[in-house]
Amino acid sequence: MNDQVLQSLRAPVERAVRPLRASIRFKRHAREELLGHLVEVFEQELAATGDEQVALARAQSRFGEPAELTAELAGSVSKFDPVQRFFELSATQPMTLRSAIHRSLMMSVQMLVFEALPIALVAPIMLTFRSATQVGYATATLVLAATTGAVFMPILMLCAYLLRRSFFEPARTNSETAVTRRTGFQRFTRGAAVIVASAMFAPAIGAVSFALLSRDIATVVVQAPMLMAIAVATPICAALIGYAEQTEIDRDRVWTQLEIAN
Amino acid sequence: MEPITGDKLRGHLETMILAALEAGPTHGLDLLGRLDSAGCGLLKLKEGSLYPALYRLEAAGMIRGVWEDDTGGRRGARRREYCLSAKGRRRLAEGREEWTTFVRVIGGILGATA
Repeated sequence: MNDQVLQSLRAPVERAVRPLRASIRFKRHAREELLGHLVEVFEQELAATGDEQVALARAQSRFGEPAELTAELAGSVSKFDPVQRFFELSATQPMTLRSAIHRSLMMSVQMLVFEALPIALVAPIMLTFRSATQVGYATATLVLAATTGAVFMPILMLCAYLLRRSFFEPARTNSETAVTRRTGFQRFTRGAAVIVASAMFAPAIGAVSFALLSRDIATVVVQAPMLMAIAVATPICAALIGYAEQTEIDRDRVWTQLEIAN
Repeated sequence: MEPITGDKLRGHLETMILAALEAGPTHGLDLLGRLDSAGCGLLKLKEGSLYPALYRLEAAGMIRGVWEDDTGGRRGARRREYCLSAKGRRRLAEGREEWTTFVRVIGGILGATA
């Protein structure tokens, strides 16, 4: 089967799946399974008729009308799917800096909401069994940890986005060699700057957190090896996340860039 | 005899899928083959329609789906194999009972027992 036939088989699947209001996870599942089915049907028909065009037409006819299938698929989307969609912010495809910042801010809000819950649960329990001073310290620790997480995670995701754009996203094709080279150099420079910034930012947050908690600079110095480890780990984590996201985007691109107009 | 198509199948497709899966785990296309042969070729279903029903059954815990490890030499995509769960077996038994009652009652009214 050649690429053109495969694209022709993808088209009805995408016509059925793209209009759905469903999570990326659901859409990926439906796309892969429906395409797998169509490929098999096409091979059956090809073996029977020996003509690719006839086999293609028969496979599409057996598959059914994509618009009808969209309605049927919409009825099979789980009631928990909107929750999945909400949490898919990190897996969507932020193609612009603006959408990446939006994603990071949303993640920050999500983290604050979810971290507020254990704080709200733990503080009253502790208040029952411990002294007010201990409760105050524990609550402050939790609040500080929550705030650190709510700041650190979105920044990490933003760095992942910038590293993905710098190192992993395919370069734009340009016939002007000089421009391409300059673009490549700019991408590398930006990526290097993000690595340095992320390596400095995470230990800085850590140091401020330790200083606020302990109110003692000596504690920060004692924690220096850990802060150094964070400095190394942050850009590595950001790069791994960026790479994973690019892999996902590449996988979906074959579908999202498909022309599906009749 | 006229083929049995979409509208007449509505409401019964899910129970029929459960019944077809009783014979053992399989993937979508083979499942259609089982339905087709059990229906003596009179069952005319748009093949894409099978999958929303499978997704509903899976979400309801009546069947379980597992992706195949590879595409088995086919280009494009993997298949997903489905099997009946304990809940699905119970639902199938209920579905059979409901159908028997339905046929008895409606058949009695029409004067055409099965």
